[in-house]
Amino acid sequence: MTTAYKRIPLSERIGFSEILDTKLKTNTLKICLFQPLSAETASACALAGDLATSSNAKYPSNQKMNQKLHLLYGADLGSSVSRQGDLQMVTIHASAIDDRYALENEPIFAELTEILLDCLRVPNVTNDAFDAQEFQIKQKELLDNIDAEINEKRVYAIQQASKIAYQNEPAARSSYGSREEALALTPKSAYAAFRKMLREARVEIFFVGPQKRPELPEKLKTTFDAFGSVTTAPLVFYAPSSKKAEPAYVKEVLPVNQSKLVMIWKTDCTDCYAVKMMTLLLGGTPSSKLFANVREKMSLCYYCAANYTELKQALQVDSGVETANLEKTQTAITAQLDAIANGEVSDVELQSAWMFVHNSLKSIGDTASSYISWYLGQLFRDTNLTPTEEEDLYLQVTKEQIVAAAKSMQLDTVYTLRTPEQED
Amino acid sequence: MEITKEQIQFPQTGDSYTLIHHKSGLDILVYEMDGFSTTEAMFGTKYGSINTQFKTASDKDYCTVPEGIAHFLEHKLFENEDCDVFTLYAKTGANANAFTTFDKTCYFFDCSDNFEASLEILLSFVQSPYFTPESVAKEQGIIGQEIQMCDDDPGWRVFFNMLDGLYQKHPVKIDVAGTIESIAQITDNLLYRCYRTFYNLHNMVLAVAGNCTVEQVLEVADRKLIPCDDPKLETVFPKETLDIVREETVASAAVGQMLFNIGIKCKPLEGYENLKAEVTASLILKIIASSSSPLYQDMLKDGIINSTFDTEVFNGDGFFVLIFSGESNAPQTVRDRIRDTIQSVQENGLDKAMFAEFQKSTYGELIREFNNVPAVTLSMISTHMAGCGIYDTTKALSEMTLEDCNRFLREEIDVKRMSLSMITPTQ
Repeated sequence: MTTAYKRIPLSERIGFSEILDTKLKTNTLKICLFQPLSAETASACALAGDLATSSNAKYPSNQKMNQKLHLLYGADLGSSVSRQGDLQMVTIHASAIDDRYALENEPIFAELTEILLDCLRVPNVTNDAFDAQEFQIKQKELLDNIDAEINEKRVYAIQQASKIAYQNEPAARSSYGSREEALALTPKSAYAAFRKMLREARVEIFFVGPQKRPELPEKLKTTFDAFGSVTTAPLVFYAPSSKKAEPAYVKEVLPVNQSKLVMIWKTDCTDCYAVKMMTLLLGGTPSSKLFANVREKMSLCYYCAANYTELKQALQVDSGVETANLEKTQTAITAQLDAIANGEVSDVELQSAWMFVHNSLKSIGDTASSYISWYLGQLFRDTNLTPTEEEDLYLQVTKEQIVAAAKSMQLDTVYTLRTPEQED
Repeated sequence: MEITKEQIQFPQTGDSYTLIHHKSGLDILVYEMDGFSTTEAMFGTKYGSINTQFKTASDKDYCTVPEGIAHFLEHKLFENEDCDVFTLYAKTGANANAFTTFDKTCYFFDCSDNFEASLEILLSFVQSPYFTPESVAKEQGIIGQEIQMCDDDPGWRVFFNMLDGLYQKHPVKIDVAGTIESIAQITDNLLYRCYRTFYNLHNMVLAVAGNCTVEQVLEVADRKLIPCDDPKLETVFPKETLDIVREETVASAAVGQMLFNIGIKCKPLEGYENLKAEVTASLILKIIASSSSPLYQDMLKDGIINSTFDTEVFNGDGFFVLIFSGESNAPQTVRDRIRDTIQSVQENGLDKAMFAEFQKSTYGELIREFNNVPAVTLSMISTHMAGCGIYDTTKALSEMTLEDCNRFLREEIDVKRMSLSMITPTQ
């Protein structure tokens, strides 16, 4: 098996990464567009990405587009939107099985690439406006997505807590934008936002497949060159969240069976490997302190997990518990963080965290998405490490650095979603 | 009993795997995947939430156990007499977990190093039950919270309400984790009884895929598997006709969008016939209701569905359901349109071009699956437990004709056996 990685700058704001791995049975092309997450563009860009990939001038309806994709052996073409620190990332992606598995020798990937590029070059547009019917369908879809954010209670609780923690920062916004912003869009304004995004966004393109596609860089360069380019201020991926003078305590009541607790701390510690090791020890694995104590010893919950949002320098712990146990759980979580700050970290715990890191890093490359996530992480940190080099950085973290990372945590937000009958 | 090995080939990709009938009574499947860094091992038993009534050759009568006990047992098996299993895995770096479904319980890990040591842990702890009244009581709190969490999941609720509308008695209608009340009846003795009945190697399968060899797996298996006699397990289900319970179920929850599941109850099958029916039904659903179908596009244009609309074949021991699901502000209209479309294609036949379109896309989906270590592991164990092999889906697909689909549509699908479940936003 051979693997190879090469990044070619297509322009000042556009990079193309080619990742070749002969074991793969699929080809994946992913275009990531980064822009500041703002009220003016969030909904429009989320909708534009969706519209651009649902039809184009050659396949001028979603039905025709899907028929073609099915005939390309169930090829996948679509868009997604997410928040990365204070930025919005709109992703346009395409993937399909490799040509050697085609039953009738069809050039699957070449056809799929042309379809994807046509979505950018010749979208389904008339008079500088997206097709009205497709727009109506996709606008409803966006509104439905915004409305449905409450359906998944764990995700909803984390979103609500993030809004409080990142108040007055772009990261407090949903990557879909708001309902009002989505409703105000028109086929024309969505298309204008799409053109602006293609001209101004910072773009990272990834190709992951079993063999080289030498034509890709030039095709992509020609496509993006045609949109023109506007120089904007360089994007900042790291956007540490400002600390509050006092923690915010917010309660919300909903007709649910289980209450949710989300706690967020912020830190000035820039030693990200120490903070990540600390997060793993606290609640990142089934042998972590939160799992072993809050779940297993105290039987308070089914899940109690810690996550570190590196770009915002914020630590988050969330759990689902009985309303009567909310305070007890909050105290128990705080006690485990305090334990690490007090140096209560055994060699066995440290070894377990390192083993977990080793396992995670070594498995990078078994899927196309893991390759892309890895190289996106390097972009965010402006580094060019291999997984082995990063593992070395984790191994160099000392217990003292972990203790310092835990001590640096300042409680910022405590959000609870409560069942109605237990309301205070 | 000696070890026998069988090499199963897939000419389309050049892949293959080995099926080993181990002397201990266990069937072992090993899929060596060149170039992959990770290995996943899954040790499963054909024991899930639907297996609430059973007996072995040594039992006089059938035993009925509380709902949710298979899932409870899964949780408890992670506790050894002297330590937690996760503590052992922490030393090898493997990422371990387990799950219980309607008809199976599986314990698995993935790792990029120390594969043999992690496999030893897996085979050892699954064969070493340790339950006490105290540890059972402790777990009731944790699983109680898991049940509450699932109760708040509208997707889960709308699905079980649909099953409850379709099945009169079959335990597929009960929640996999049971209820707070049913798990309160579970004791250490009941857990031991279920364990001894279902966790015998003749009722289990080990599947390993990724960066591994047959020799590595067998070296550990030979040392760690404890041979046992086949207890001649029998599971029974209450008699179930094809009649449904009710046409509509409505519940409310804190949701922003109304959710629906529409199920059509069909005749259950076994083995390769079941797999063939699953592939056939899945293709029919795609032709009728996928994103390139007129039904889907019309409903989308009329604003009564969005892209969450999906279809699925849900089948297992004694149950077979065609499901249409999604978000809608008019689920009854969606149900009526689906019913009208099915009746129309039953009369006029399926579109030939669309049949070819979905034969191709389904083939592509199957090829993708062979590129993913966890997907291969799960598929091997699931198909083997269902009496088939991982490549049989492709075989069934390539053998299928448009006439097979039309016959299934006419003879096996009856819109009178349709039940709609809805979750509406709480006022």
